[in-house]
Amino acid sequence: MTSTDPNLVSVTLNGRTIAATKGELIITAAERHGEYIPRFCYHERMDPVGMCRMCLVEVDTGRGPQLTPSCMVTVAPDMKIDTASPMVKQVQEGVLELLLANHPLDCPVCDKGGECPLQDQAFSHGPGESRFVEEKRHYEKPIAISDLVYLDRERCILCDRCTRFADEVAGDALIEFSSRGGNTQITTFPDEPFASYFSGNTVQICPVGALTAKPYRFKARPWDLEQNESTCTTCSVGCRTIVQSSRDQVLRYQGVDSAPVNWGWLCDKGRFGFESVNSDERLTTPMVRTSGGLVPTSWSAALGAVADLVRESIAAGGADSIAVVGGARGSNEDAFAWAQLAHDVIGTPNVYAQMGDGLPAAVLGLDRATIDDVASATTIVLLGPDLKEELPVLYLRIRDAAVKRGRHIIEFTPKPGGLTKHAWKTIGYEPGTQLAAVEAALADPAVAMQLAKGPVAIVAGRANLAETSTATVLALQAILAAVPSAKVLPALRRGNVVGALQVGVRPRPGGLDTTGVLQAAAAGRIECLVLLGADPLADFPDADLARRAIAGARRVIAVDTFLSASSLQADVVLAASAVGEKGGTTTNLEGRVTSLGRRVTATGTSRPDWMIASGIAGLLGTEFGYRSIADVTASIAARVESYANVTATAVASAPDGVLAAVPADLGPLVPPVLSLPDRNSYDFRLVVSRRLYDDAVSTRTSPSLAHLAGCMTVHVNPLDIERAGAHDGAEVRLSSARAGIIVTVESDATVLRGTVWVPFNQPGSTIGELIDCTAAVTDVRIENI
Amino acid sequence: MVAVSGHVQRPGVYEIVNGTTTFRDLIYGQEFCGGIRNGNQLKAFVPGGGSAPWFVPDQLDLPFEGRLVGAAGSMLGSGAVMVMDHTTDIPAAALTLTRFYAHESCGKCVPCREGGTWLERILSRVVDGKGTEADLDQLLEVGAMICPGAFPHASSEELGLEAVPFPYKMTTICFVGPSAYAPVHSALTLFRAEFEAKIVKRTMIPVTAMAGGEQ
Ligand code: SF4
Ligand code: SF4
Ligand code: SF4
Ligand code: FES
Repeated sequence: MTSTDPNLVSVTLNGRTIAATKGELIITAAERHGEYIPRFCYHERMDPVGMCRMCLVEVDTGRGPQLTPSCMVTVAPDMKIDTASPMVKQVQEGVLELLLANHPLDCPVCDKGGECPLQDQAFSHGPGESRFVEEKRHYEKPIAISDLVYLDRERCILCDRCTRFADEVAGDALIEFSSRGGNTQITTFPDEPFASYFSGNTVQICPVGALTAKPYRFKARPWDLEQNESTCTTCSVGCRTIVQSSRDQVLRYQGVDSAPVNWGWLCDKGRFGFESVNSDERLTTPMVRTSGGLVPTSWSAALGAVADLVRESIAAGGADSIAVVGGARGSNEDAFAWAQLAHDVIGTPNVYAQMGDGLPAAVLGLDRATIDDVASATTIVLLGPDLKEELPVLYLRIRDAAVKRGRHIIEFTPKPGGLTKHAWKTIGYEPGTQLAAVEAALADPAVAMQLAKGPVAIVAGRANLAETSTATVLALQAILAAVPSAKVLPALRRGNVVGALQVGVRPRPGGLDTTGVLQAAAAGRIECLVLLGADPLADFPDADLARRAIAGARRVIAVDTFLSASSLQADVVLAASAVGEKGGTTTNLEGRVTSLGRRVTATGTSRPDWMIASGIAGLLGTEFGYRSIADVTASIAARVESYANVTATAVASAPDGVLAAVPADLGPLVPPVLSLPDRNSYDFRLVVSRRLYDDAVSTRTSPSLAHLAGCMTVHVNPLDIERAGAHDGAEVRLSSARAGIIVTVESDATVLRGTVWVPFNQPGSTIGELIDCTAAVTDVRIENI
Repeated sequence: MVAVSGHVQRPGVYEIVNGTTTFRDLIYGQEFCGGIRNGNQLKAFVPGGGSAPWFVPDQLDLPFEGRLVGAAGSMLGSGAVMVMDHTTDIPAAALTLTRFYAHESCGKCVPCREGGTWLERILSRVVDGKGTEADLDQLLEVGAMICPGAFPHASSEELGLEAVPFPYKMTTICFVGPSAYAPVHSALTLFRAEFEAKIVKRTMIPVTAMAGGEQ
C-alpha cells in the first residue's frame, strides 16, 4: 500500500488489500469493508469478551492460518484475514448447531421471532439441521427479574451482553452468571431485583428472546410494526429513538445509536413512558367550563372561547395582564408558534418555559458544551442535580468518560448522587454556600492543577428546589472566572426546555418569568394565565404560590394532553397531541435539533400546540399562514437567528441532528445578590430534588412505570437523627417558616450532616408546602409528634 | 517429576530424567512403577494428564520429551501419566474423563459449554448400552465443532494407523473444551471395536476395574 498515514494498517481481507484503522478490531474493519462477520456477544458499545465464538475467522500472521475471534483481536500490519474459508464456514455451522442444541426454538411464541439474530444467523450461517437428539435443558419459563424485565433461561445463549451492560455501562451490576458449564445461567442476587433505570437496554441488546420487556410482551410481531426515527422528549438529553406502532398504537421505543448523544441507550422512563400516549385518561376533545364544570366541546367553540377570554383580558388589564407559562414539553414548532402568538399577536412580554426549577435563561448564552465536549474534557465540573435521576443517559455518558476514559470529575453537590463514586473530588456543600465551596476548591492547588491540565466542561443545573438559583449562578460565575475557556452544558431537564427558550418562549424586556407570573397572578394582576402543558400545582416547587396563583388568575386557559391538577381549574382546556402523534423538531440540552417522528393518529380530536396557536392567532386577526408543520420549521429558520442553519432539510438529512448556534440575544448572566438568612443551629437546611420516577402525569399514566415511584420520606444523616430526637421510621413534623408537614424519617448516610433531603413530587408528596421560592434557602425543623 | 496413577504396581510421584527416561522405564522399571498390577497386560496410557490424547503399547519406547510426544500425537501437559490395563472398559474410561471436563467447563464459551455436555450425554448413552452406530460418528462430529480439522492421535501398528501430530485447532477460549474431546477421540480411534461391541451386541464386555483407576 502506498498510504503513509500512520493511522492506517494495511491488511488482506479475503484476498484483497484494505486499509484498516490502527487499533481497530478485525470484526469492525471487516464490516467496514463489506464483510459482515456473524456475532452474538460482540457489541460495539461494550468491551469484547470473545464468548460466543461465532466470529471466529482464520488469521495468518506468518505462522499459518489460525482460528481467531475477530471481536477480540485488532488488526496488525500484513495480517491475512479469511472470513469465508471452508474452515471458517465449518466453525460457524458448528457454533450455531451447538447454540441451538439446547435452545427451545419456541419462535412461534417468542417476542424476538422475526428480529432474532439467532434465527437470522442460523439461517445465514447455520448448518440447516440439528443432530441433537438428547433432551434439552429445562428451566422455569420465564421469571421476572425486575418489575419491567422477564428472563427465559432456556432461550438465553449466555452471551454476557445483558450482564456486561448492567455492570460496565449502567453501573448496576445486579445480574450475573451463576453456576458453570452446562448449568450456567443468568441470575439476580437473592431478594434484589434488577432494578436499574436502564434495564430496558438489556432487552434491546439481548440477541435472543431471553429478555423481554413487560410492556411489549406478546404485543406485536416485528413484521407488523411500522416505525419512524424520532427523539425522546422525556428529558432534554434527546436520545434518538425508533418509535414503533401497530394498528395505530405506539407499542415500543428502541434506542438508536447516535454517536454524539445516546450511543443506542435509553433510560427506562424514556423507553416505556410512551404508554401514557395510549392512556385512557388522555384528553380527547377540548373542554369549556360551564356551571356544571368542564364539559367537552367543539374546537370552534373552544377556540372562540379562548379568543374571547384573551380579548376580555386585554380590555380589562392590557396585554401585560396575560401570561403564558410552559411550552417545554412540545416541539420547537409548538414553542415558536406560541411565542409568536404571545409576543406578536397578543403583545405580552410575560412568557416563560421554565417552571422555577432551572437556571436563568442567560446560561444558554454561555459557550455551550456538547455532550462529547463534556465526555472528552480533561476535567468535568458538576454543579447541578444528580444526573442519574434527572438526565439518565447523560449520566451514562459521563460515567463512561470517568470510568473508561479517565476523565476527572469535580462534583459540587448538596447530596451525593449517581456519579459521586466516580468523581475525582466530591465537594459537599450546604445549600446557599456553593460559592464558598467553589472558592475553597479553586484555592486548593491540586484542584487548580487539575483544572489547568486541559479542557474543562461544566454541567450546570439546579441541584436543590428548596433554594433559589442564586448561589448556583454565583458559583458558576466563579468557576468561569477561574477557567474562562470552560464550556457549559446546561442541565435543564424538561424535554424541549432549551428549544423553547431559544425559539422565544422567554420574557421580552420588562416581562416576568414563571415565578414573577405566579406572584402577579396571586396578587390578582393576571387577567389570563395560559398553561402550555404546564401543571404548576404539581410541578412548581412552591406549592402555596402555585395554588394562590391559579386561584388568583382571573381566567385560566390550559393546553394539555391530560386533565392535570392545574388544567382541572381552567376555564378552557385545549386537547393537545402527544409525542408520536406529531412531527416537527426538538432541541436537546446541547442545542442539537433533531426530528420527531409522527407515528400514530392523534388521540380523539387533539391537535398539536402549534396548530392551536395558529388557530387562536387567526381568531385574533393575525393569520400565521402555516399550512403544515414544515412551514413552522421554515419560519423558525427564517426568524430565529441561532436557528438559521436549522432547516427541515438539514435536520432530515443529518441523522445526529443539527447544532443550533448559541443564541446571542439572551443578555449577560447578571450576578445575582444572595442574602442568606441566619443559620439557626437547631434547624436543618432542606435539600429537595427529583427522582427519575415521580408522580408526573406522564409517569402516573404509564402503567409499567407508575408503581416505580417511591414515597415521600425525609432523609436524615444517622448521626443527626438522634440530635433531632427522632429515629429511623418515626413520623415527625417537618416545618419551615412557611408550613409544617407530617413525614416519615429515613436514615440515610449519604445525606450531609446539617441538611435533610426530601424527594420532590413523589405520590402524595406535600414537600412543596415548605418551599418559599423567593427565599435563598429553606431551613426546616424536625419535631417529634 | 511425573505422577503415575492407574493400574501399575506402585502408583506415585517419580523423578525422571526428561528426554531420557522412556514410558517403558517409567511403567515397568523397578525404580519406578514396577510394571502392571497383577501381571496384567498394558492396554493404553495417557502420557500427560486427562486432557492428553492416549498412547498404546506402540509408544512405550518414546522418551518423556515434549517435542517427540507431540510428534507422536499427544502432549506431556501436566505430566500425569494414567495407566490402563487390559481389563479396562475403554468407553467407560473415556466417559469418566469427558464427564470431568464437561463438569469442569466454566460455561463461558459456547463450544465447550454445549459441546462438552453433548459429548458426555452421547457417551453415557453408549456406555449404558443404549447407543447406536450413528452416535459414534456423532461423537466425532460434535468433537469437530470444538476442534475442527485433524485431531492428534497415536500410531498403531495393529490398526495400521499413522500418528497425527500436535497441535489441534480449537474454537474454544481455553483447553477445557478440547480436553473433553481428547479422550473420546483417542478411545474411538484406537478402540472403536469396544464401542461397537456395546452397540451391536448390547452386552457388556467383562469388566473388572472401574474407569479412572479407582477401586
Ligand atoms: S430467541 Fe426466540 S425467536 Fe430467536 S431462535 Fe430462540 S425462540 Fe426463536
Ligand atoms: S439474557 Fe440475553 S443478553 Fe443476557 S446473556 Fe442471555 S442471551 Fe445474552
Ligand atoms: S435520558 Fe432522557 S431523552 Fe434519553 S431516554 Fe431517558 S428520558 Fe429520554
Ligand atoms: S462475537 Fe466474537 S466471540 Fe462472540
